[in-house]
Amino acid sequence: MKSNTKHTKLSKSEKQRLKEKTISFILLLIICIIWVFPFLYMFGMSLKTDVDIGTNPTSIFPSAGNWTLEHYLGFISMKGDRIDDLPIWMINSIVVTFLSVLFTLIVDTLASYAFVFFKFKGKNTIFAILLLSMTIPTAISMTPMFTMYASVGQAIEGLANNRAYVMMWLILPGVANVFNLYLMKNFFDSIPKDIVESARSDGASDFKIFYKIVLPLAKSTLMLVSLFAFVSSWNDLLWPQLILSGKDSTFQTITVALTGYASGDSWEYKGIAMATSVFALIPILIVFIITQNKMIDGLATTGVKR
Amino acid sequence: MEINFNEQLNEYNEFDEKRIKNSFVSIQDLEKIYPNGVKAVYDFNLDIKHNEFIVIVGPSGCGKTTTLRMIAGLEDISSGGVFVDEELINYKPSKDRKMAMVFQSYALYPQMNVFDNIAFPLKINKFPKVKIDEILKYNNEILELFKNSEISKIIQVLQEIQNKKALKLSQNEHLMMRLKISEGASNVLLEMNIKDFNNFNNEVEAFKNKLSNEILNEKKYLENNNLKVNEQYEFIENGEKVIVYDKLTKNEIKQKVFEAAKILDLGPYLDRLPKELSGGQMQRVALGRAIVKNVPIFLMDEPLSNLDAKLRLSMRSEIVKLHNKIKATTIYVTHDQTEAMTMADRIVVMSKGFIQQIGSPEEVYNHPKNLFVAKFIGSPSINVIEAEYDNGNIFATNEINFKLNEKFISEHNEFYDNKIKIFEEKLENFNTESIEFIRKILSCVINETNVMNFPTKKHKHFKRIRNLINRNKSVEVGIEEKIEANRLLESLKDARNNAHKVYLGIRPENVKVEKFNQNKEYNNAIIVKPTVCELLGADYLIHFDYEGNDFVLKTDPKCDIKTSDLIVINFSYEDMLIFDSITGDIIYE
Repeated sequence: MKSNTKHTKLSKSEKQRLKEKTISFILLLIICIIWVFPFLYMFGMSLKTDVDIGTNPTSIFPSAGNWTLEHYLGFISMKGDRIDDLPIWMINSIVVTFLSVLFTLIVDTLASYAFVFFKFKGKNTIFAILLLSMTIPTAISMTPMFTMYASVGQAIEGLANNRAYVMMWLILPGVANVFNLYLMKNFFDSIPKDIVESARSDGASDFKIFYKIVLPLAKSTLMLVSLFAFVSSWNDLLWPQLILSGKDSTFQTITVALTGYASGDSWEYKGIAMATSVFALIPILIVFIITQNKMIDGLATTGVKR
Repeated sequence: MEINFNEQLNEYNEFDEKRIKNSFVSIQDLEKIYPNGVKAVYDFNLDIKHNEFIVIVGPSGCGKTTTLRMIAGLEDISSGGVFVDEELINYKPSKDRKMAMVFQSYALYPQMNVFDNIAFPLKINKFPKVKIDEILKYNNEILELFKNSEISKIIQVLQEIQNKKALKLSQNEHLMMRLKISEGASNVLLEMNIKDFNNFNNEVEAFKNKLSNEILNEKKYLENNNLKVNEQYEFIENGEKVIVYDKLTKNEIKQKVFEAAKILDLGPYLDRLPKELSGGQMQRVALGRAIVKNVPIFLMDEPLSNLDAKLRLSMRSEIVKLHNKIKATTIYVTHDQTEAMTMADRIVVMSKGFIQQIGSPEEVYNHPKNLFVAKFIGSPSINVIEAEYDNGNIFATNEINFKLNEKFISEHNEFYDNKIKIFEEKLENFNTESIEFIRKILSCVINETNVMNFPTKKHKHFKRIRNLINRNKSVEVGIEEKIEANRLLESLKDARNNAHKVYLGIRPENVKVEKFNQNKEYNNAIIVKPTVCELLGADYLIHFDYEGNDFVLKTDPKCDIKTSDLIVINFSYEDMLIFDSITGDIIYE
């Protein structure tokens, strides 16, 4: 009996902890709901008929009898006046993002390897400058970048409307992301120097050490960096919008295309806009599901690992 | 006076040819100066013979690992030279130095299993091989096979390899094992590719013809190109076999790895990852990786310090056994004097970047050159007590005082005369060498006197700024030492003729002890109470306080002494080591 009463009665510190837990749970729940609500609303709206969107905008999900998948049909049927370009936008986005991730991985791993395992003068200074460059807002660097893009495009006949040229300019600026480089370098720093030295005395060249020893170890960090690169490239709007303004609509990426629905005169396409947005989220969801376990691993190992 | 290190580097262009010739590894005047000006290793000189087991021992931060890394090629050499087989290897990359290194952290590749870890150096390197004419050799081997063995057996084996899934080994290996042919020959046989076993004889005839034709063509080709081949089909050029560098085949790698695994009892663990192994097993894998490289020199950097005490003991004997078996010259770094004493052929004792003594374990233990070595080697540590020397008399306490014989007195005087002479010479021509000489002496007695601090890493960040402000920094360093040298010389001169301080050292096992007996009379003996008694199995350690010094003695556990008992201590003066208090060196040998 005694033990039972003891069990039900909480000590002061236990009470305190319970209180803290409850409060933090409620707070997190509220934040979570606020966070998720727009997505839920977006998903619900995409299932409403055009009429229901107009008459019943306050409810999350469609009223009875108004459930429909017609907004999604356009992705498959390629008919109608505006949405027939959607598969092309998706492909554009996927190609740009895929190449961007690939180049990011190549550049970041090679650069990190050099920073960590090579001895050269001014190594720390160069890295400090790179870190400093993180503080410059993208909007500022965009002007000179755009000037370069435009003047080179004008200088050569037909280059401005060349798909490869535009693609290149969509991809390359995002590749030089110092944050990802920093993540990568942090992980490489945590690789015991002994391993690399031992490989070197075993007779491995730097390139062999890179792809046989260091890269296999960095798997989880590679995942993390690819996720970050993927998300930032997929969601990028400002730069592609600048580059693609005045270009043919088949050049557009999905984010740029989505802004077309946000202007005042496109009320009638709200359903399609919502459906497109849902569609645009799918790749990110997939990538996130694939990488999430590894990513936590990666986040944990970038800091401390012997 | 301006002193810079470049001047010093130029001095060391000449190496001692005799030493290079008479030793397998010759390390001459090796020094390490870090970019921030800190000097980690001073004037390291060591000649190593074939098959020798050298242990470099010293407290942490004494430069022993730096020395080893310089030899291994992982650290740049600031000055001096390392010779292996009469060849200067300073600028050779690490992999070409014919050395294998074993790291303290094992440095196994975490993503590879044990087999791949051991096979790594074999996979990525090319090895010298005698160039053979493969067509002649293997085709002839197959023709021999058809001639000598029964066709039915060959058919059976060839049918066996048709079912790839049922095979435990690869097709090659199966052929090699069953028909007892070489790997190259098995490749030739695989080319045969039989579909119809009913018509086997015809196919064999066709295949034989094909092989004979190939042999004929190859012979013609050799004749046309004026190439010569001996009976083993090895290419001969100018009367010597032609050597080519080639990668090892999978089977060769397998064989070598299995061989190493057998030596180290790693057979059952070959497909495990390093994280699934215990510390001792990981260490053995690291050793295996060194063995397969088949190099004449092993470098080991505190390989046992990450193991628990029991494992350390067994691995210690294992490494010695391994050394006796494969006869590689070994340089072994450790901070553990027990390891040094038990494993080494010769011990190198280092402190603060200087070699304090080189010698066999017995030499280092029984005849330490200075106080540092005496204190560092031996467990438990040597007992040291301060005493006064006055004209042949040693006086420490009322109980410890004795008169020295004539021989010692003359040795004592000679010692001080010598020291004074050396100091005067150094002071007369005060250069970098003299500075290092002073530093070496101070490194040995620094705990006692604590007169100055060398520039250490702490100053790293401020050093550059300080140097900018104070350009004559190097002169300042010299001056500090010069003052110190003058001070030491004065005390030496003083000590030569007057009473002066010395240190007496006595090993714990040389202290005699007995239980206090009230009925007995003790003359001139020390009667104390032990503070701590420790039983170490075969040994019994008794600690006691004497005149403010913590003493320890080693005795037989049978003596039946407890902390509550009174004990009688007797020192035998013959076993005492007498050290000079100014330089820390031993006065007599």
